[in-house]
Amino acid sequence: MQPEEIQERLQRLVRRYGTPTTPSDEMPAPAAGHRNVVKRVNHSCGDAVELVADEHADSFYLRVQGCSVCRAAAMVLAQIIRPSSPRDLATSLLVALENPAASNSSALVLETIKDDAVRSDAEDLLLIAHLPGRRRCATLPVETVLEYHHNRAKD
Amino acid sequence: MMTTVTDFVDLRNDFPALSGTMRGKDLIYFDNGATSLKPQVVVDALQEYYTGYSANIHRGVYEMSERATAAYDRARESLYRFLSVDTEVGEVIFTHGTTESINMVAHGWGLKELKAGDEIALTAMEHHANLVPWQVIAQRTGAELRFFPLTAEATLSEEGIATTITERTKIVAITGMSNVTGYMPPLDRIISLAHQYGARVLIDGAQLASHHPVDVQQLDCDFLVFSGHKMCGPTGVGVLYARKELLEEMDPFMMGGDMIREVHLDHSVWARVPEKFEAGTPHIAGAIGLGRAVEYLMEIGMERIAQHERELTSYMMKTMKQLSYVERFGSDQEDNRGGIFSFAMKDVHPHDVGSLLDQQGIAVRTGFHCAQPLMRHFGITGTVRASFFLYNTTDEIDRFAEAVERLHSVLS
Repeated sequence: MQPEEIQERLQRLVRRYGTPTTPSDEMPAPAAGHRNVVKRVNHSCGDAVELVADEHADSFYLRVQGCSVCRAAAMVLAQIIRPSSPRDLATSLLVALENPAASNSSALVLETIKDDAVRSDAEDLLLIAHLPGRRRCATLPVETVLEYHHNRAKD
Repeated sequence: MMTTVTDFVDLRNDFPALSGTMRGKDLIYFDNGATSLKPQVVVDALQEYYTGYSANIHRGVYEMSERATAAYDRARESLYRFLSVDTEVGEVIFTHGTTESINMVAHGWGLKELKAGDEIALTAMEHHANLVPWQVIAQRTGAELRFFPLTAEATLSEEGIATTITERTKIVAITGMSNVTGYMPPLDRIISLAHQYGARVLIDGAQLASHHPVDVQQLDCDFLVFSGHKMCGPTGVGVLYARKELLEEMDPFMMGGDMIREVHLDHSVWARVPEKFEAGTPHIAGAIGLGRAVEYLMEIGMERIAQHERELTSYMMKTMKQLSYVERFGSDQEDNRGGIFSFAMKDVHPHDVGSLLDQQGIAVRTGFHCAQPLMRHFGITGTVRASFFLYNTTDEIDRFAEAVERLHSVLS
């Protein structure tokens, strides 16, 4: 992986998601009756992702206080995951981010994304996930969603 | 002797890592607040121990063990010289690092000496290692945590010091140099006032001892703790310096072999200080490596190193002040700060700045730096931190500033 390529992809994500107010603006608006049900924190930097759901768990959204990588990952998730959808896709994304060299999971995730801009963000994320120091930034929103699914399955 | 730039540039040859590259670029290592690079002499000392005489110490009745014991003891003597320890008054304990040293004091001294109504004086700029243990001890003993008020720039005021240390204060646990801002609190004033009230003082010297001369007799502190790896030494070894009278009274934190004089079925009698606090086989290689590291630093001269880093910090501050989009954290006063510079770039998360600098061969630390209360004081979640050591240069600062400017221009 060439530093220039990673630098270019990261710069693109920073331009798109770097300004702190941008991602939350792009997230679904909070709805009455919603509440925080899962919160996960990146203990290396203090960044946090909260999953907010309505009381019937018919809808949820992610609230992110984090870097461009974390925000981009949340945005990609928001586009591909719904409460009713199987959690396989989130799991595939997690596997792809944790082991970006495993092309099967990456391909599965990318095939699912219809929106060109979101697919481009996902491609950037999968490349940046080659940097071990940034992998956690990308996986934090995915782990949050998976924890939500896990808790729902237990309930 | 006058410090010259050439002297310090020449010293770079002592550090093999500096001849390497990062992401294909010449390495600029500005993460010395996290850990320092290691000079070849320290690597050699470790290798000599492991390849030549890696026996256990103290109880061996053969030559190799005697050699290891002698090297371990010599390392402690090097620390005596490094800290100007009067061995009638104080002692050096080898620990695993700053965190363990603080926990040894918090548990060994704090649990025994503190009670409800007592106060532990701290600052909100402490590294978590000098905050969390005291929170636990306060909960267990009923003592209260009391914090020195911080100015907007996260410095201490005379009024704040005078009103925080009172007759209820039993210990002041304070950093000698903030790992976020580089601010160095007025330790002389704090120690003097604390002692007037009969309180003990622990100095977290994790950043201080690596970069500034520390004379424990002159400083008159009760406890001083620091890590070896931030000062050219190996990881996994550190120091607790303390007054002997306190060590004799303190309970050991770890129990086991080597720290006992007698063991019976129902009780044991502790060994004398320092063995009382060094249970089990210590990090022998680490201690020997740390001993060699402080000898290396003393050969250069700690005052010269401190002066060199002051010059670097001053140059960094002047350079970065010219960048309007850079927000600096901490005081601009140069006379009470060390070689740490924390900043943020407008609208760019510190992690992103760190990664983009990494791609240009520059190593910095990003995040909350194990100092979340201080981040809250500043109203932020993290910073980018550049921290210097003896091998850094003004040329590197120029390259660093160019890289930051390039980032800003690309991202704007």
